[in-house]
Amino acid sequence: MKQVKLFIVLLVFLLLQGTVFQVFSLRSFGYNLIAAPHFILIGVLMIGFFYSRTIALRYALIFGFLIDLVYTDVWGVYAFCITITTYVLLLVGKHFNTHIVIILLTAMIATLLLDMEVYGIYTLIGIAKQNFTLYTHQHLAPTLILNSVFTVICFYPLRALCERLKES
Amino acid sequence: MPPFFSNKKLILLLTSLILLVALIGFSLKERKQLSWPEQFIHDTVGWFQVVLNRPAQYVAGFFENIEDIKNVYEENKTLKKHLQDYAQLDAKYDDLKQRYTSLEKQLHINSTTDIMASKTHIALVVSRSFDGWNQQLTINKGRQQGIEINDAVVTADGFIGKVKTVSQFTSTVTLITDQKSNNEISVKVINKDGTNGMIEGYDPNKNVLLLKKLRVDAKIKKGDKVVTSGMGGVYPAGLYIGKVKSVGSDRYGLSKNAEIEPAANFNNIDYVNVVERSAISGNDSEGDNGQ
Repeated sequence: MKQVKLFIVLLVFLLLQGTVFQVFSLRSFGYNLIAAPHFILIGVLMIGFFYSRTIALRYALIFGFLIDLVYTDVWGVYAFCITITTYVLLLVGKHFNTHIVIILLTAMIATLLLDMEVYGIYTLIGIAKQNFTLYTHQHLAPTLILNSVFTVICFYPLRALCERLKES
Repeated sequence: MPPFFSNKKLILLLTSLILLVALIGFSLKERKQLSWPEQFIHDTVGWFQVVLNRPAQYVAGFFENIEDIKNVYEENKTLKKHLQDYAQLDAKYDDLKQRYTSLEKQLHINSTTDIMASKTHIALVVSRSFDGWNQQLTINKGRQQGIEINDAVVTADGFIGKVKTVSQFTSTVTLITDQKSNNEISVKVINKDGTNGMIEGYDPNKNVLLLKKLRVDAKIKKGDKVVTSGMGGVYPAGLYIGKVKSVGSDRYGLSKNAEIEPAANFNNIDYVNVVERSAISGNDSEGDNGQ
């Protein structure tokens, strides 16, 4: 029952991805760039670092599947990619300390991995039809910047929330 | 440090890979209806999305208004110019309409085939896919409001896509910019010989729709208007898509290709019109899945 707050935070992230960040997307300002918000991934990573790894992985699976259901019509891609990215980075990140710079670097690597995994799978199915160079310019670079900024913004509030939950 | 992959984890990974492939395969096939848990999730999330989306739209609208104020003077000038032509056009329109109705009466055509007669629903766009790959919108009307699968969706500017899935209170729309191969539209070019063709994809870099497999002798030129033809029975006829931007021949010179600049702006969609299919399906070749 303690984790209701975490659930709500992640749900808000899920909604932000599709609503607010699409109204203010780069495309609506006339740039031909796509910055995909991967907020669920960042939220789940932080929960894994500051609260509990198993719970982080559980939420990664649940919210990944919710993304698949709500925003795409192919099931399982985000659920699989987010879970495996979180798992790998939490496994490696066990040995790091949790300074903001380290977390930022981890989140950036995670974003890169997730976006490229999704691109790879969607290319296999035939949904994404863009060559790799163009993809790195139009898609990967803006995505990386957006998610790094988001990581810095939500680092302190999320850490505070996780630590309060751990104490209680 | 424990080994990176223990046996148990390796098995888990392989199982989930198999599960992933199975899920993808299952979800890629065409389905007529969503199961109730899916509908429930779509509707619940959709409700929250409306709550978050409205304030964002208002803020965006505010900035747009400021932009508009900057352009007022220029706009006023061009509008005045248009106004002078308007009276002429109006008279011409009345004349043509009279002639049309009288000819219609002589030929005993009833006007149910008219696209204007079909019923439309205005819906609010509550969310949009966030990665560039899926081109999908969620709108806040569903089965309860009379939306059905494969209804055509238009904005004030032109045709944008079709309804993909329907829940009780929300539905999802696939845009014509979607890269999936089953997203094809049969269209008609409005010129002297009324060329028919198929739109077979979208080029996101140039923002053009690709009209392929036109006849070599088709008299299609830059600036011709393109509308849906109504053939194939998925979309009603006469929905405006865009203008021809350039014409070329294919690799072997056996057919012509054209690039079409869509009239609708796909980046800033806040309201859409859903054109109900049942109003049109009466004169179509197939009428079995209209209801």
